[in-house]
Amino acid sequence: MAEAFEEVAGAACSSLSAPLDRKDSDAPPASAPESAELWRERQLLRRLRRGDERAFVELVREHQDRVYDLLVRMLGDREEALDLSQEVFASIHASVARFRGESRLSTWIFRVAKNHCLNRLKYLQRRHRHRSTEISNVPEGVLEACAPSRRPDENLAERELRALVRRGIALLDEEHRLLLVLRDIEGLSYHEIADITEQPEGTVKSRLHRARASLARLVAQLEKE
Amino acid sequence: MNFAAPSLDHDRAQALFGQLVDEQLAPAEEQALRSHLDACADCQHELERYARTVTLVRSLERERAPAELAAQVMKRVRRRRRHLFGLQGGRFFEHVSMPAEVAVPVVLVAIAAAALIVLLLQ
Ligand SMILES: [Zn+2]
Repeated sequence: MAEAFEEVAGAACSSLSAPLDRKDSDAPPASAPESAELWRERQLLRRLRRGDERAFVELVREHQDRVYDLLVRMLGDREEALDLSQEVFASIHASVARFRGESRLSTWIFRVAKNHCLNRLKYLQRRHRHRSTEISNVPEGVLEACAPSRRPDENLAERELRALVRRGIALLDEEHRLLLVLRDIEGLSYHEIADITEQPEGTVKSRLHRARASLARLVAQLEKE
Repeated sequence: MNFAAPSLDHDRAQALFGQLVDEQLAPAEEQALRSHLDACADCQHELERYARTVTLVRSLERERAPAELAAQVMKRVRRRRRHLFGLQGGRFFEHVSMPAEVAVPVVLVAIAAAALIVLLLQ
């Protein structure tokens, strides 16, 4: 398999007009590393559709950090985020066989996570347990629990500034927070974000801009306090 | 209305900050924005604040999921499978481990067959 892959990858380098009509079954597509990535994803999906449990564990390991990070930012609570991460992947396990591959697997996983997350936020708000409703009253120490340990290259001013930014993010409304996290923390493209949040790319651009502008204002305010 | 005017007002200039930071502006738009910024200290200050915030967000440390997450997920999946089939222990299904795509039609066909038998017997 690896040999075949190198062969095709090599052929792709020597000729950019590689045949495009090749059936995608077993040979990796002959172009950029992104296509190798897509090919790997298709292989994984095939195993997942067969109900291969090891393939599913691979999927979880590959995506767990990004899903967990998104949920910690959105929920502001690690325990809640861990519980919801398990829920998200359990629901992916139940539905991955039906995933048709119209979008990237990672995009679809983020979309499932987003849907679960918005539901959980609603549920938590109903129970008045969600922090962002009262986050301004939360003592700094509690929010700092969400901050990782100090980085060696970080001076005190930077550290304080990052703490303010984390507080500011938690104060954004959830739609703005989601866009900001997907773009500036997860580093996704506008196109992927449009796919995940199910809104047009133009809307993503303008709302993301508003999210960042609100955050900049919030951080400036917090700095003055 | 502002017909093909090359200059931007403050609002329109600031609305382009997002795409500027993401390096998504068309050259003509960027040119228009730069010439507004050259002449506008307010927008310059706003851009500084905006860009600094984005840089800070991008520099935040990532959270990492606990290593045992995959095992916890599998535990949840198995527990749910047992609930779904109402079998104590669920050993049979764990061994067979049918994907939902197979299991659901099998159960549906079984129900349909049972209904048919009941109808025929009547
Ligand atoms: Zn201006």
